[in-house]
Amino acid sequence: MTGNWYEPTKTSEFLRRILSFSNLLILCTAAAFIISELRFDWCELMIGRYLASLNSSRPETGAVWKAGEQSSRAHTFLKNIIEERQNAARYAQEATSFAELASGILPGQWANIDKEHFKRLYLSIPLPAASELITPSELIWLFNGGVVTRIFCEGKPYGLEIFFLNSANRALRQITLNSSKMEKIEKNESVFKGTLDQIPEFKGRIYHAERFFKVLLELSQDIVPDLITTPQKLINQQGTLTRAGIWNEAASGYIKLGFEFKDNNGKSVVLFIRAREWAVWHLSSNLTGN
Amino acid sequence: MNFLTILLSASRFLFYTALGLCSLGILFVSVVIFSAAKELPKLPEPLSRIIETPKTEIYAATGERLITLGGREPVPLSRVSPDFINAVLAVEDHMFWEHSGVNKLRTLKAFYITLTNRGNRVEGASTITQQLAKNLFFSFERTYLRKFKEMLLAFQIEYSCTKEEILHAYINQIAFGAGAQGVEKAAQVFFGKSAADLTLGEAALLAGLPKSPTNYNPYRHYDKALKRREVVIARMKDAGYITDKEAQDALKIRPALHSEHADARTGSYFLDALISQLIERYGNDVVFHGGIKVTATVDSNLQYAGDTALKNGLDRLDTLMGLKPDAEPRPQGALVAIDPASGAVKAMIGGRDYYNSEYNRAVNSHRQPGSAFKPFLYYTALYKLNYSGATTMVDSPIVIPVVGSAAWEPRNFENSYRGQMVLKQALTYSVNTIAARLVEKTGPKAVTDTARVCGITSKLEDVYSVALGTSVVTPFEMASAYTTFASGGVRHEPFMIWRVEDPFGRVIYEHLVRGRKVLDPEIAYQVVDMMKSVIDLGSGKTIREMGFTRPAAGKTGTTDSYNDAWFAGFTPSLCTAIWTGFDRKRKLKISSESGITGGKIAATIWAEFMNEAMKNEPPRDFTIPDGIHFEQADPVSGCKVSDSSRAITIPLKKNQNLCTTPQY
Repeated sequence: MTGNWYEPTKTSEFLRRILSFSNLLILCTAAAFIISELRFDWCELMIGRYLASLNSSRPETGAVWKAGEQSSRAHTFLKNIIEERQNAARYAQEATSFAELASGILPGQWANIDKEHFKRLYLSIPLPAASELITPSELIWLFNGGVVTRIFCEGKPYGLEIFFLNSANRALRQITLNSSKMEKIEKNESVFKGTLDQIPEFKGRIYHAERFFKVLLELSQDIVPDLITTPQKLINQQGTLTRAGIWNEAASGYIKLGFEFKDNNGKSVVLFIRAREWAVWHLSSNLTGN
Repeated sequence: MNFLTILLSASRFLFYTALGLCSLGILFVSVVIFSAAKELPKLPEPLSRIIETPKTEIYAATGERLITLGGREPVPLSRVSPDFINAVLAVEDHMFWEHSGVNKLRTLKAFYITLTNRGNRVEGASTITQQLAKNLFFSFERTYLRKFKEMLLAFQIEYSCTKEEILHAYINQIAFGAGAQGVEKAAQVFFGKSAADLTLGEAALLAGLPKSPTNYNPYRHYDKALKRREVVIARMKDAGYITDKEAQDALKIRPALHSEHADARTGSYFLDALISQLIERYGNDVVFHGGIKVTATVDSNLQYAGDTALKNGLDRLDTLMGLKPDAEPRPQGALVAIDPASGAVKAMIGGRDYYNSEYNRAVNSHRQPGSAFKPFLYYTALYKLNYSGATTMVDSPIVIPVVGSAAWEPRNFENSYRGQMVLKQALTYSVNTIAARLVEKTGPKAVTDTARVCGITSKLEDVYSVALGTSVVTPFEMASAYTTFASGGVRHEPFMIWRVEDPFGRVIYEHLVRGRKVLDPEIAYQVVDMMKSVIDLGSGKTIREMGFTRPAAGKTGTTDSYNDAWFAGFTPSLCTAIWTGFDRKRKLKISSESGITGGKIAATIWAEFMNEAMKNEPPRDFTIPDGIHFEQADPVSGCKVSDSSRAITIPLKKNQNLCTTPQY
């Protein structure tokens, strides 16, 4: 091919070659490329579109994301506080005894409980133990004198602090529920050294453990948790479960159940747990066949 | 080979070389884009999300919003002065509406200048979109790679967002200095108005700041900021946004800066202390990015009244000392007011001018309280020795031997002695020798124990002189400890936060008011009665002279060297401590060389503040405990007197009588 090439000898030949179709095509293409880019920014748009397509897979780095992380950390921190609080509030509302109340509200946590709930817990413990917490007359005044607006429970390393607050958040009365006090209440509340027969309130409502549990386990599964509200007490008890009894009276929506255990030495103890009244009626009617 | 052939060959060579280089360049850039793309930061969607961080709000107990922290609320373009938008476009990116992220011609020019290093400068050509990308994602390190990445992100921003969205994000995140980020905040900080209300002159001034917020900070370099404004206005005129006349008119106006928001500081000693407490409890992230709502204990009216009273009092002190307005150093002061019934801090002022000195003397300045410490001594003596206000002692020179040290020889302030008097008179007139006799009998430890149960937390030396206030305490502690007397012996821990809520209004903290009885109420009342006498007749009587007529009790305090002058006192519903003095040890003295006592200035500040603070409350006297009865006694002998005009009233407990054996 190069063999046919010859040097242009005339200006017209030179111009003809310069303005050849291929040269013009290349020049026009290059010019169109540059001008269209300058005019329409298609190169930027193409890159922008490409980067936008990758956006979701790219890392969240840089100043703005860092600030976002701080917000996110703050959000998590606050969420944890709220969750802890809500848990504590739930435990508090579901607690069936002061011991449960104290175990549900951990140190640093707090929850409000309503007056009715406190009344139920208070009335569920024997009077001497209850009076040690707060005398009934004082409680009557606090609750019925219109001064207490809410009851605030705060978890402490040693137990629980209960505050009776007025509308200005002023603590009108404070109860400290430390471990020794709780143990005392717990004992009063749940253990009797002897047999069920020695407790007149169970008279006529004492059943062999085998029969009691057979009937209980035949009940609908959603009833059982309301009957055996604190199973850990029974599970942890040493000895053989021989009999169970139902208290003859309801208090604040609960009825006591008594469980008689006999140890290797033949000594008996009765453990009490508080069951929901309606669940006990179900059980009772199945036990008696009514 | 003729000339034309050479020309043709050269042209062809150059053309194809250029084409080849361009192709290679495009290939290279494509490879770089592909490799860099995956590491580029993710763009938030929508872009406005980046600006929306919830703000922490702090409210006064009286309901006013005191401050917002950290959060940013983007202001829509429709609520921004068009002059500001035009000014920003003119000065930062006049081709904003035309380009797709990069101003190519300016970039090429800048690149050429930078490469040839003309004038040893790096030419900038960033568009608003590039600046937005830089501000959002990159450090301010100047590298070619950073610039390149910034450019790529600018392309993506332009592709993904409308021009309005970009401009909206830009003006809401840009830093103007003085802690102002975003145009709305900047307008508030610098001019105390909304961004919608900015005038042309103000808008141009603001638009000039982002180039160098520190150098053009109008609070520090007002003239520089005005020079920069001239550039902005000239560009606005060139771009056709304003006419020549409008430009001339705008240049004539010197915008007035907002005096109360000179920078990002809170402007309040109380808020500084409160924010420190919040950070300690929840950390920086929650305080500045958590969007919490805090209800503080401060009463805005009382805070304002306290600020005014302290400023006025310190101005009076300047005059008394013969200090010129520009004299340095000038005496400082602190005021703390606490509600005795709850412990809520109602007002806290830590100095005469926050913007001049942020040092919060109310909580950080440990100073000797002088005789203002005596109520703790008198309580201890009454409690431990069963004394009463009618117990007599002798005011005479005294030397108390100190084991292993020189004997202590306290003297009265006036250097004179009055002989026998009842304790009520001794506290009323702040007699040092009798205080020394009392501490000798009680022992210093019992006095410091009383001070501690009342609320003094600073380290107190168990030495005799502690009774005369030689151990240092803060004004906050003094106010807090005096509330224990004001509340009849019930101690309430002082606090500044009533309640903290998360952004959804759920309570994460609330303060419970818990009182703890730490003093015998009858003895506390006896001490209060003596302190009432200080205001009615004694070293604090300036308060009555200033027209404060309500039942009140208090005590002055002045240190030996006149370095510190105090007045701490209370009504049944408000307890306030005032300290005045220099930051560094220097005497408070009148030009004639005589010293200035707590009764002279601190008590007047107290009176001015309390007059204002209590004006809407009915007067109320202190509650008298059941076991207290009153007797009229002779102020010298402590016995009943026939001449009732000389008699003073003394409260006594059930087991106490008048005319007991004088104590020495």
